[in-house]
Amino acid sequence: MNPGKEGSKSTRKGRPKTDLGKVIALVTTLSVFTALPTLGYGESPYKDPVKGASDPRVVIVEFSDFQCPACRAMWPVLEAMVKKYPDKVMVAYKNYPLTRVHRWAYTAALAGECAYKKGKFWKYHDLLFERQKTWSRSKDARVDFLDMAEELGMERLDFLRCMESEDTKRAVDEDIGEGKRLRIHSTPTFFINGKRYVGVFKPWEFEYIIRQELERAGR
Amino acid sequence: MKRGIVIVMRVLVGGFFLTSGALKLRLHPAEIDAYIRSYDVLPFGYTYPVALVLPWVEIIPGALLVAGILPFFASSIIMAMLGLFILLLIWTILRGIPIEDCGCLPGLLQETPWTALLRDVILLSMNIPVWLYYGKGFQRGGRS
Repeated sequence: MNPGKEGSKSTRKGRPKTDLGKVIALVTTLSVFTALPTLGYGESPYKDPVKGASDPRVVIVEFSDFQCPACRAMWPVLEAMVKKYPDKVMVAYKNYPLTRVHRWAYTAALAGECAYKKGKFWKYHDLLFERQKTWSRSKDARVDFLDMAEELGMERLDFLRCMESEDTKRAVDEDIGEGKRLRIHSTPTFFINGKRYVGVFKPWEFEYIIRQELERAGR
Repeated sequence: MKRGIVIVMRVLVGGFFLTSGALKLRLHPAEIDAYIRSYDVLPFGYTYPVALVLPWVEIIPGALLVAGILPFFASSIIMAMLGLFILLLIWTILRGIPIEDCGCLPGLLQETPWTALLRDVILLSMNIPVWLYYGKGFQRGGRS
């Protein structure tokens, strides 16, 4: 072994600052190539299913996937926030099915969109999360989605037609497109008054965020 | 020959950290924050600042090691980080925290804590000769 042999020229020539120069150049180059633009969330969530306050001080836009266990885990937390602050907090739901890992996520999003069109989104949403483990393992989850729709009083054939319609697909694809523009990689992703939060939060952590936003909005 | 092996190891270890940091930098800090929170080690509120810094803490020593600039310094930082990651993964496994993806190479590879632990031990065993090699140079007053 010959330690210290590499690149010892610069020290010998009395230019010890060369390394620092290289480091600065390297960091600058890396920063330019990997710079990530700061993305906010500015679009109105009102075209999507919403729940809670009609004139909210805190708007939570959730990009979610019906087949994602983390989204399922976060739902009671969101529900609790809407119940605790009924005239201050609003939740808006947006589809972001992770089709690469969740086989039925896109179909579930279509079903959710149809339930929204029939005015029964939140009941259907709760049912989808409640039975997530069952239909996720199903060979053909479409049957489960139709069964659930029927259970909530929606006409089976009509619901199926809706799920297969281009209009429904377009609505889901619009949400996905929006998520991609916002560079969402995982679900659930929340935009709370425009600020991004990702993943599962403990109930007290999530409430802390909401209370901070309420304080800010109250100023 | 030995020097050649050290250079290969240096490039492999540094390259891994460079890749890992660059992949994290592609994500929004909130996504890295989610990975850190899933380990349940840092108090709420402390994870986000770590998420902001972590990619750079991986990229800078990784790039330095690959480029052969300040190799002893870079190798020491990486050694400390690998030690910390190994302890963290062992603790996570012992506590039975169900982590599906360690977030080590986000978007490229989904690793469980077990596979990440194995990989980190391999990286550490590759980094030790690099650290010793350049450490000797450092002690002799050569380039570090």
